Amino acid sequence: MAATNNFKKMAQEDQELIPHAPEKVEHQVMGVVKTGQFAGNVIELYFSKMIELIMMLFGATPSKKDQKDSESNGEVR
Amino acid sequence: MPLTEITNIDKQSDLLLIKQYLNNRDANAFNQLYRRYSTKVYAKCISMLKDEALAADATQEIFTKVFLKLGSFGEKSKFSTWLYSVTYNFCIDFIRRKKRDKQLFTDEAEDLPDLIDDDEDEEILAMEVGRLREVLELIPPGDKVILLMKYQDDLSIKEIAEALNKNESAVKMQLKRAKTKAQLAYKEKYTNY
Repeated sequence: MAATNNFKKMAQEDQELIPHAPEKVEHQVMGVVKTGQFAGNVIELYFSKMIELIMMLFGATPSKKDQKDSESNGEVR
Repeated sequence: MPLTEITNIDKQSDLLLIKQYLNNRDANAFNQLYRRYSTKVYAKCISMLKDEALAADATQEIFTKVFLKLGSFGEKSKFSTWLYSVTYNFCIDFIRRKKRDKQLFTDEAEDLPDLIDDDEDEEILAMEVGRLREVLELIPPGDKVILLMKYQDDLSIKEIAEALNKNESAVKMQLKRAKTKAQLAYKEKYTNY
């Protein structure tokens, strides 16, 4: 490729002319990210418990591992 | 967040930040990616859409899309390459929706004179910046994108093909035609000066 590349120079000029995307864009994007983060945490924390509860309603018994986990967390069954 | 953690996160590679986000759902890691690339994405959107408000909306939608698709980022290419592909495709789709009647790429059936040799890029790369900017506005947006991908973002033919969902030979042909079109536009506009 040639030593001169004015496409690069043009990109550099563009960035100097337009230093940053508006702050509101960052707020909105991070709002979506944090909502996703929250939803993910909720699913991770409660979804498995909900499945377990539904299974128990249908007559399944909790595994020994789950019982041990619950005991180590101080839960009473 | 402690200062040392902020400094460390600043130095991390894109890939580490992506893993950090995917494994721990760490919003700070995604924020770091945003801060690293938002200016470039915004500048590209302004260059393509010619409107600051539209470019701001586009930047927001592009980063939201990237956030939602981050899990499917295959690490086959660099994050920046993937991000710029999403950016260009978003802008092309936007322009396509806006101007249904306008040509996006040079028509392959169009009979263009063979002005450019495959290895002769010097002329187009050396165009004075102001003129280059004008020439890029005179060619179809799809041709502009392919030239920007190749010469501004240093994407390989393979990467451009993946980004535009075309095969490599089609991209090579499109690139050659885009260069010819740019060269013709330049000659038409500036030869008489």
